[in-house]
Amino acid sequence: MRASTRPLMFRILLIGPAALAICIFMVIPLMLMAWISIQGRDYSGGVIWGQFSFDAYTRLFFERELDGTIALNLSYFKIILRSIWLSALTMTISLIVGFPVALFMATRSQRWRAVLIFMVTLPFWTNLLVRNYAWILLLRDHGTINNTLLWLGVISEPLPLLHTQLAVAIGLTYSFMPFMVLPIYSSLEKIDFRLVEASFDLYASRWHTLKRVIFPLAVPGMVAGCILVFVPSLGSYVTPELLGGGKTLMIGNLIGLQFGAARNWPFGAALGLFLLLLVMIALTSYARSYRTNAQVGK
Amino acid sequence: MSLPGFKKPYKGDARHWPGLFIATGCFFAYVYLPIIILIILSFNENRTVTVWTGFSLDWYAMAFENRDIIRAATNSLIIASIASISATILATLAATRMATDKFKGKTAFNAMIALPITVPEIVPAVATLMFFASLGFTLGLGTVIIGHTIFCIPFAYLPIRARLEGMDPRMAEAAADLYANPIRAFYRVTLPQILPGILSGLILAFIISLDDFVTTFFLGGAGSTTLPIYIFGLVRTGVTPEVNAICSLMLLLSLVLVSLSLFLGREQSR
Amino acid sequence: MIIGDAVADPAKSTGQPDAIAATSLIKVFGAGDSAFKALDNVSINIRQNEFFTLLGPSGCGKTTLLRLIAGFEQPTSGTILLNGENIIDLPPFKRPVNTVFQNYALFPHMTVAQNISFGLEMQNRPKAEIKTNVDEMLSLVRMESMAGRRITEISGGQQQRVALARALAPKPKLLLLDEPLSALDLQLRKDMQLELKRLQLETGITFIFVTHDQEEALTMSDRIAVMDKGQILQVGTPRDIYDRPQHRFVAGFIGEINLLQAGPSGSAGEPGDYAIDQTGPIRVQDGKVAQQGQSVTLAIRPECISLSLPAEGKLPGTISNVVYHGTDTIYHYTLPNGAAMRARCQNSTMTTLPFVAGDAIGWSVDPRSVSVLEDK
Repeated sequence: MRASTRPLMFRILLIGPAALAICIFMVIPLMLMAWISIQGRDYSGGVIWGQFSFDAYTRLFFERELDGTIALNLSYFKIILRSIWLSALTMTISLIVGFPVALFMATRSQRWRAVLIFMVTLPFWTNLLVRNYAWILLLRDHGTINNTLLWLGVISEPLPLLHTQLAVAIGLTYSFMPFMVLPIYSSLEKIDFRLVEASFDLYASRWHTLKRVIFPLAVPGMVAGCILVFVPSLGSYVTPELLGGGKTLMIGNLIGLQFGAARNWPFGAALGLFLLLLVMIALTSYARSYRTNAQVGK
Repeated sequence: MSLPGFKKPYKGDARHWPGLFIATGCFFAYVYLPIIILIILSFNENRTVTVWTGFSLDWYAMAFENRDIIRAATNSLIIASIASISATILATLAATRMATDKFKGKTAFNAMIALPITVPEIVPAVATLMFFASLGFTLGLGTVIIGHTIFCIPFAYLPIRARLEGMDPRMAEAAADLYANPIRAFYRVTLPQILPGILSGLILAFIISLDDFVTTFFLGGAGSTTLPIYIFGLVRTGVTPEVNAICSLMLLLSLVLVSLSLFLGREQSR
Repeated sequence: MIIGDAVADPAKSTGQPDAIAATSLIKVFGAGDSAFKALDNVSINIRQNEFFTLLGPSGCGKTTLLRLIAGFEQPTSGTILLNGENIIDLPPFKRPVNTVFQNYALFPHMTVAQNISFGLEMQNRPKAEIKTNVDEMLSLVRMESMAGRRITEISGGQQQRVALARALAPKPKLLLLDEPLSALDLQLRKDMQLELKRLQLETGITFIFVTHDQEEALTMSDRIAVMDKGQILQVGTPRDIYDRPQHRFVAGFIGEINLLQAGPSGSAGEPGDYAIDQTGPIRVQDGKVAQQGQSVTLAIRPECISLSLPAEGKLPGTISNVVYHGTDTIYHYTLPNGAAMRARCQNSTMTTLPFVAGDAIGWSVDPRSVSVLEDK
């Protein structure tokens, strides 16, 4: 074709810069991270290039004692399990709370929907740190919640709320809830409510209509929402740092530690890679379920 | 216009489900109450932070007099401006082709450009830290700006591409038909139509950069302290009413900017 | 490819080159198994100042042909001459050809006047000239009062006029119209048909009009090209196309028609004498010399058939259904060989035919009203 060379040139010139920037400062660093995870550790920070070592991976389960013997140590693994557990908990709470909200939004008039979408999205764009800090004010020993309960006489001693797994779960749910509500809403919004009327007409109660008509149609949105909540929860750093204190570390904090006080780059890199892997598994399983759904829908 | 849910419910109404209004009300209380309490407490005159004793603007005054805060705010603005503008330029250039062309590797490029929002931020943050350190870069404003630019690209790119894809492909043809060469067609026809999308993308990227903590924390060094980093330091050592004031200000700034961006987005879709 | 130049034409030959002379155009989309031949060896000549219509069902290649002329697509092979000059290598912004798009493609961020002046500005015409030109166009399409309005603030019919004015403002040699009336409602469409015809006569610009609406094509065009499956089947004046369809497809696409199989007549040696199986002889005079002894398909318009009581010299038939249509009545009848036929009789004539289903009738048709189709 005569005209085919010029568009190619345009394409390279226009797409090139963004592609190059992401390649150099995103893709290459991630590859470097994989490489560093199998390098020797330099105790003053950094790595000993060219010295191969799988210490970073064995360290997940074992610990080298001072005398050189290797012993099982599951404390790091526990952090990983805790991260998965807290993310799954966050995802479940978000789903249970988010679904009614999404259904409510979908049943409103066009005008109210716009307002409600705005109200759901708004907190996402405010500072994550600030939003978590607000929860510190509420959950502290002399925070709003404890003060209120004390004043009401429900309790006589402040409840230990801050620096618990509960606090982290609350914070994560608070941070990522819009990601659950919006996808569910967008699949509910497409539902023709005459389907619900048809279901009523065919003698289905509200409960059966919900179970047999609305839920199945909302599944794609719920799956998307679960992934969108689970992935950032798993990799969260700020929330466990602020609301979990030192006791409720998650993978993100463990990774961060390796580049601070612990000075263990290969281990940090290995953990980063592991987190990346978990995310990829979550995303591909989502892509697969999405495809299956699309086939069912045919 | 009546309040949502306050219509007289009829049992057979397909759009009325019992309990949803209350559930949604609780949800919004959960979302907004902490923020509102934070803002109220920032006007509290008492030092104990959580007990209300009286109205005062002292903490705001103190925040504005604090030189560290001013320096951190300045850094935040410098980083957010440079990063969001560069990201928007890169994203706009790429989006103009990505929206119209079909070529091999397009899906791969789309996946790559979305990487910064699919991967948990901590991973690219430490990866880039190792990358810069291995190359011998000194961590500081420069490295932070690069890191921010990268994760701002998808935030700017997605609204612009959506806008371009929503554009009638015949617009470009009509411009060509009326004697406009490709460059003039872009300036006179495409750009004015996607400009609201670009501005909206720019503002979103700016907010995201302004609010960022993780990337800044790992790629920053001495002299690149931003407001979130500064707040983080204060919060870890203890809660002070001054922090309430800065946090309220940051909330306000985000709210104004995001409303502006959404307003622009609404304008363009009309 | 047959190009029907044989028939007399209102546009006189002036010695000027044709507005468009396209030769052997082929356009293939895609490649390999998914390749689709949108245009299959199309050649066509469009004369100066002609209102020329490309008519066909969707997917027949008419819009592709238009896009090749406008320059939005490159042909796989073939040439296009505009006023005798080869334009195949010119990008659309260098071709003195303008298009009225199907959904108008008006620039939403500009006013009516800005839309109209766009092409002139791009041609770097002097400011004063642009101004007078735009005013002239606004009055041509009767939109003077709307000059400062935004595109989103005017109605569909008004947008249509602006799209026309925008395309006419640079005074193109050729105006291409891609189903410009399809988005309008019926009444507006009728008005715009007349309006378009008026504009074409006033400006003297050659119009190439694409439509799938046969009625639109018949009312507006000087000549029509009927297309199907990437080929041009017949070119001619509306009368030619309607009265003398040459292909089964053309006959069926435009208006209602009866198709009849006929064989060579047994005895008479006259060319044009055929016999319908079990029914009787039929005579055809369509200017063509039919080959003796060949089976053919005959096409007869329902309104050309006259019905009567069975009589000598009439062909036999039996009424199967009578459908009243207000202005006229359609009589469905069958021939002894089982072929189904329709005859359309105007109701205004006082001689209302009293036939009901089951009646035996006689029918006849003027030999000049029967066309012999080329079987394809």
